[in-house]
Amino acid sequence: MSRFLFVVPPLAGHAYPASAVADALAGRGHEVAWAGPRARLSPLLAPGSTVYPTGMRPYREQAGTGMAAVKSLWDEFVLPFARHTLPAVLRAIEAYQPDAMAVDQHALAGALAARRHGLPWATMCTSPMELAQPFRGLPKVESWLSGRLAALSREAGLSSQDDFDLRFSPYLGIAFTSQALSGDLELPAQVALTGPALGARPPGPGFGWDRVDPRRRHVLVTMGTLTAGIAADRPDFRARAIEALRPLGDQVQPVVIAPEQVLPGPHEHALITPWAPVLDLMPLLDLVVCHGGQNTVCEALAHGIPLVIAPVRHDQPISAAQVTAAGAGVRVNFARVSPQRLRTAVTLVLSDPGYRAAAGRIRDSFAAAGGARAAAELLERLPGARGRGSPPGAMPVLAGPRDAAAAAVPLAAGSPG
Amino acid sequence: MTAWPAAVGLAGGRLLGELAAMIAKVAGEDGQWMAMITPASRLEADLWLDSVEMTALGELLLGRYGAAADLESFIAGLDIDQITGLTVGDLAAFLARVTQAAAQPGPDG
Repeated sequence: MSRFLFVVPPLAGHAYPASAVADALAGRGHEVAWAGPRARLSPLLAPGSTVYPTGMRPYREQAGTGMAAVKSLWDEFVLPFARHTLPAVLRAIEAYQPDAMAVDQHALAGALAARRHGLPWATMCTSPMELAQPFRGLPKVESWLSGRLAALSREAGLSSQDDFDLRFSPYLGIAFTSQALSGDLELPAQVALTGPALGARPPGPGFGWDRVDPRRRHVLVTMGTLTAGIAADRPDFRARAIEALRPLGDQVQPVVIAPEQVLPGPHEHALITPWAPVLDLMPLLDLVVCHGGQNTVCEALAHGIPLVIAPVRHDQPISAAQVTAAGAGVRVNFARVSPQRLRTAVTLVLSDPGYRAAAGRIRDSFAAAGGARAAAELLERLPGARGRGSPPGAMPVLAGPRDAAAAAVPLAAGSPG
Repeated sequence: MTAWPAAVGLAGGRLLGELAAMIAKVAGEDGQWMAMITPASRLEADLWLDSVEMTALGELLLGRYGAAADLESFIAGLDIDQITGLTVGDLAAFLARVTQAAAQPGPDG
C-alpha cells in the first residue's frame, strides 16, 4: 500500500477526473490526501477527503478568447497560483509524507514541491491544451511561456540542472483522452493515454425528471460557468440555442442548463433547469450542445453522444477541432452563430447517423483505455509507490494504450543531469 | 477609426475591401456585418475569428495573392501581444508589403 498526495486547482474540469483516480486508488487499498484551496476544492471531492489547505487568492475571472485568454490563463492564474500555494504544498508533503504525487498539469506548485522533496510524481493532463501543443508554430509564444516557467523554477529554488518542462513530469504523464479523440499527437514518451476518468459526482439539488418528455428526442444545452462576458453585445448563447430549437419542438425537447432569469420565456418546447444530473441524463440524450469544456465533452463521448461545440477559449477550441476531425460533431462560432445557423448544425448532427457512429467509436476507445482504473495502475508503478507491502501477485496489468513499463521512465533515464 | 493607412499606400483601400470580403466569407457573415469592419477591427477580440476561420482566411489569401501572402508564417513571427492585438489594418499592411514586393510596380497601384 502506498500514500499519494494529489495537487489540483479547485476547478471541476481538473478536480473531477483526479477525484475519480483517487477513488480508484483508495479502492485498491492506497491512501490519498489532497493539497489545495480547501473551501473550494473539498466540495468537488468525495465526502471525507483529507485536504491540506493551501489557501487561494481571488483570481480575476478568465476573460477574452484566443491568445488573450491564453496569456490571462498563465499570467493571471496558473503562475500566481503556483507561487502562492508552493509553501503550503511543501508543508503538506512534510506533514503527510507521501510516497508519490499526482499533480495536475496546471498545478505547477505540485511539480515544484515534488522535485524539491525528491519525490516521484505523475502529471495529470486533464485538458488537451498542453498535449496538442497549440504554440508549436508560434516560436515567440512558446519562448514567452518557457521563459516564465524557467523563472518560476528558479524562484522555487530548483537548480538549472533541473531543467525539465514543468508541464510534464519526467516520470509519468496521464492524459485523460484516447487516440480516437485526440488524433496523432507528438507526446513525450512517458505520457500514457487512459481515456477520461469518470467517477461519482457530488449530489446536486433536485431535477424535474417528470418534465422529461419520453416521446421526443433530447438535446442538452450546457455552456459551463466561464462564458460570461464573451460577446456581451449578442444575445446569450443559450437564448440563441432556445430559438434555434424552437421550430424543432415537436420532435426535440431541449434540456437547457441555465438560471431561469437568463432565459425569460415562455419556452414551452424546452426544459430549463438551473442544474441537471448530467451523467444520469446522458443515456437519454441524442446530442449535446456545449462550449467544449473537458468534462462535458468526455462525458458525452463516453456515452457515444455526438456534439455541437461552440468553443470560447483555452482547451475548448482544441477539443472542438478534435471532435470535428473525429467526425463526432460540428463546431460553431460561440460569439457569432445565429439561431438559424445553430439550427442547421443541430439538424445535421441529429439527422446524419455518421456523427453518432463516430461518437460510438470514441466511446469504445475510452472503454478500452481503462479510465480511472488504468490511471491508478500507472500511479502504482511510480518508483516510490511500488513495493510498500504490495504482495507479489498484486502487480497491475495495464490495459491502457501504452505499456506502463515504457511509460514510467525513471528520472535519470529521461532528463538531463 | 484609427489614424490609418500611411503605411499601406494607395493599394490599402482596395486591399482593405478585398480583405473585409474574405473575412466575411470565412466567418459566414453578411454584408451588414462586413460593413462594420474597419482597419482597427481586431481579428480576435472584435470579429471573433477563431482558429478554423483564420486557417480558411489564410487559404483564401494564398489563392488570391500568391505564395508570399503566407498568413501562417506571418503570425508565426508575432509575439503574444501582437497576435492578440492583430487588426484588419495590420493584415492589409502585410498584404500590401508582400504583394508590392512580389509584383511591382502594378499599373493600377
